[in-house]
Amino acid sequence: MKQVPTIFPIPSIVSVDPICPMPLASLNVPLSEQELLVVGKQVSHLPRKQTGGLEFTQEETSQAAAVVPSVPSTESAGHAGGTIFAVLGVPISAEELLMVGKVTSRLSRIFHSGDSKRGDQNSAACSEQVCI
Amino acid sequence: MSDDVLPVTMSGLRKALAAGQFSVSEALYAQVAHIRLNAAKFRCVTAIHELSDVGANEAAPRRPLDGVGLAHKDIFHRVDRPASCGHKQPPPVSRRALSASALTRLDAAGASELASLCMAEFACGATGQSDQVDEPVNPLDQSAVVGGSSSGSAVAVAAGLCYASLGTDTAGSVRLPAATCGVLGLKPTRGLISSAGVFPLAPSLDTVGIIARSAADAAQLLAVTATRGLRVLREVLDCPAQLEEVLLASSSPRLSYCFDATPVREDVLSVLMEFIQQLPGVCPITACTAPWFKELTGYAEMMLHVEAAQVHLPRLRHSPADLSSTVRAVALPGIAMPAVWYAEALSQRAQWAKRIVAEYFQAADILLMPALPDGLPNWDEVHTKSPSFNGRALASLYSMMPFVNYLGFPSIVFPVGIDALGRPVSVQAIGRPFSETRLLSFAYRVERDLFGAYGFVPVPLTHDGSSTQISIKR
Repeated sequence: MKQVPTIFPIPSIVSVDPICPMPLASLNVPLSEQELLVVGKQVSHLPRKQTGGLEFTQEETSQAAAVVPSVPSTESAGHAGGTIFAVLGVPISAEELLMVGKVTSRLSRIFHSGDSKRGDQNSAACSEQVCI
Repeated sequence: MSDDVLPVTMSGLRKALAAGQFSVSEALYAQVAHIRLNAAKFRCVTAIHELSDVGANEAAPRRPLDGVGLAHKDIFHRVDRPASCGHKQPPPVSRRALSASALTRLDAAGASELASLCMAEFACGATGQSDQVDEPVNPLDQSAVVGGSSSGSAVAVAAGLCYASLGTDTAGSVRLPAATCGVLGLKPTRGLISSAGVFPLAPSLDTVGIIARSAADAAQLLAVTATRGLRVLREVLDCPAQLEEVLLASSSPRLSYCFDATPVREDVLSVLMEFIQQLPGVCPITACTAPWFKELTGYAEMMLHVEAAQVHLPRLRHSPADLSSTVRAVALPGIAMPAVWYAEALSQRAQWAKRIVAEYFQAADILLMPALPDGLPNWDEVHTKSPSFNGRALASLYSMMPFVNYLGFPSIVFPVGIDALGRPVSVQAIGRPFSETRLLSFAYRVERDLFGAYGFVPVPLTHDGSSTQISIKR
């Protein structure tokens, strides 16, 4: 099923609470709510994960695998623009967040303009490396 | 040439020194006195340095740049003088940090550093706008903008306060201010001049560049500061007349031009078209298109944001109020960029460079593009705190520059005429990697054809009507 969100949702305020980090929203990658939850936890726990080792990641991955829906939901991917700034401890105003959203949205058009072709090229390049 | 006035180009000064018209000491003292007298008029100098090693008995030059006074963007570290980077609270520097490699090379060649020059805060900004230091005055037209971020370098060179200046170019920060002030700006191949000891903005795009009044002057500085190649220029470095001959004697380049990658203002386009039509017939020239322009510009912009975010992350976290809105506007988006975009831009970089070389630089030596497609705006149009601020005008100002940094190719801008407002129109000449000598040779031919033997820009009058030409009278 083809699901390609076309409009990058510009975050309105910083204090929204969903857990999806902003970069994910910019990629227009369809994700379920459960996947968003897992990704958000991964990002927010990153410093702990570094000391916790690989087991933590595997544990999270196994949880994600159990809840993957047959049809991913695409909603709410961009509603949590401020989360990544919170994770990094970088203060940002609502106006700046809006600006960041505009910049990311504008650049996303460039990165999405040749998705399939570039993806294929990357795959081909990887295949060549494997063959070599 | 008057006997009591120094020549307006570095080449001219070196010839005069070699001929014994001035002693090294006389020339240096004249340059120091001159910059002290005129610096305030153009608001481009942050500090004037004492010259401690000028011997009273030093008469004839022993090294290539003896007697030559330079001043640089305040982003180059010295062990005894850390760079301010255009900020009242300069970034901390490791006690082990060495002086910038480019400055060390200039020192060894005999150059004297007269002053440090203002710049956009942390090199973030397409203009000389600053909350931290004075905003410089364009010597050609007070109401016209000064491009950034090497704004002080362009103003000082255009005003005749120094013969040449080093700057840094991450997304046009050497070429853009040079174009706004009607002087030459050279962005060499990435890495040709070492960026060791230079505060970074986006390390994989940062390039140390040169702003000068003449292509021959830029060639001399490049021969001194470059870490490799340029054998032809180095061989004649000791004799500026010979170096000029070498630049004029090289074979005519094959040219291609693309003036429609982005909309170009009508009067600017007329000047550019007239320029290529008047080139000597020995320079074959063909039109081409640049369908990749927006994509490569996007890659460059994204990399700039991401790397600037990484560079400024400690300040964004712990002292956000110390950074201006301009710096934050450059760095903050980088935090939100997906890592896969950055990885893709990096992975595509070498392929794009190969492709552009294959498609453009097999059949041609130089690709010509506009430098400022919308011409040179007024300060108030592009100053973000002005009521007349026009975001599109600001974006247009640097639109033609960043893709060259992504590719890492050399590029040179120089004026070729004036627009309907009497302001300079510059062309951007891009070459394949390490083709600096050819670019400089082309620029020098144009300079001699269009402007004669006195560089690209006449030394201006100051606001009180006096000339800024350097006098040796004390």
